[in-house]
Amino acid sequence: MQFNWYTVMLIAITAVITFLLRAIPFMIFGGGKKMPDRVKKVADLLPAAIMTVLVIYCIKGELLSIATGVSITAIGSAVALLVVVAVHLWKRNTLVSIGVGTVIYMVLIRVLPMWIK
Amino acid sequence: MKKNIKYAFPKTLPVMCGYLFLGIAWGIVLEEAGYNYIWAFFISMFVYAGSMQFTMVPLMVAAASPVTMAVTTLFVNSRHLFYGLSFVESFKKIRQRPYLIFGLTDETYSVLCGCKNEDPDEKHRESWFWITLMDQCYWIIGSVLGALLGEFLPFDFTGIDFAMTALFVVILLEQLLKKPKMNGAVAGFGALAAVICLFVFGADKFLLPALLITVTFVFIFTCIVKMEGRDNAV
Repeated sequence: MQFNWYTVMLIAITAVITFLLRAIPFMIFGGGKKMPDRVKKVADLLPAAIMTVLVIYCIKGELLSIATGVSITAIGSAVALLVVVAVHLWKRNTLVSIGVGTVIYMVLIRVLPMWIK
Repeated sequence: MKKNIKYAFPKTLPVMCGYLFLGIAWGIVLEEAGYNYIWAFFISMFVYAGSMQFTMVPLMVAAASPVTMAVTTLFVNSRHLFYGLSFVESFKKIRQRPYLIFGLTDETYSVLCGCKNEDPDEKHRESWFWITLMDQCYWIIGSVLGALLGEFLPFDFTGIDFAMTALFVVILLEQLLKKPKMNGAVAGFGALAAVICLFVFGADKFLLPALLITVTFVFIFTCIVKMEGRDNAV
């Protein structure tokens, strides 16, 4: 594909809007004034709420598969996630929990199809 | 600086797994659409938004109108509106603030939430810039590799992006362990809202309504909890 300015413009639009969306909270509350108390309280509780929604987002395919018949990746994720939580409660070491969970997941999605057949 | 990089690097390892893998996947998509690694480099450098980058490729191929591109970006990325709220005060004290705002992807947001959770006094705040920068480097490297090598990569990395799911779960778990009651309540509601929205709106469209409902709930929740606090004080 040869270079064309139209595509560059489309990319620029995407870049600017993406940045603006990320910057809006800072433009509203980022000035010299302190954040209002009410907003600060909401902001303090948002991370846990947003993280939960993001976790569901990550496993959306697996969750939806429950309705139609559980997929192999769903079984793999469920087992691997349980392992992540268990290892983390035991060791409280982020990298170990993520590493062990990821390896188990990668092994399971390769091995499970053979077993289940 | 060395100390800050040392603190930052291990925190970014899970994102490294996820971003290299997803970046490669996106690079392949872009290359197949007819754009080479130079495009991959600049798009990942200036747009830097995973799901939007996947969405924009067919729009680029179709030479979509600027309005279509703008509206699509608004919809796909609107969730980022909420992320900054958690860091308005913290970022004020960081020199590289504009870059940290630019780089506040889902994953960097999560890692920084984790940092804030384990270090509430933000003694390591200086490292946050490095975390953001390293994350974007992984993404750029992944995209360029994908566009360059395409499907000729020597290993089958399928599943390595599970590291990102695991990262989100661990960060959430830490938040729950820290403040079981408050975080537990909002997380419980967030999970319920997200699952309901997932089945109602479908996989492609549920994230924004789920976040909107959850943020609204958190707002109402803080009002109620505040009132309870006052009652107790009286």
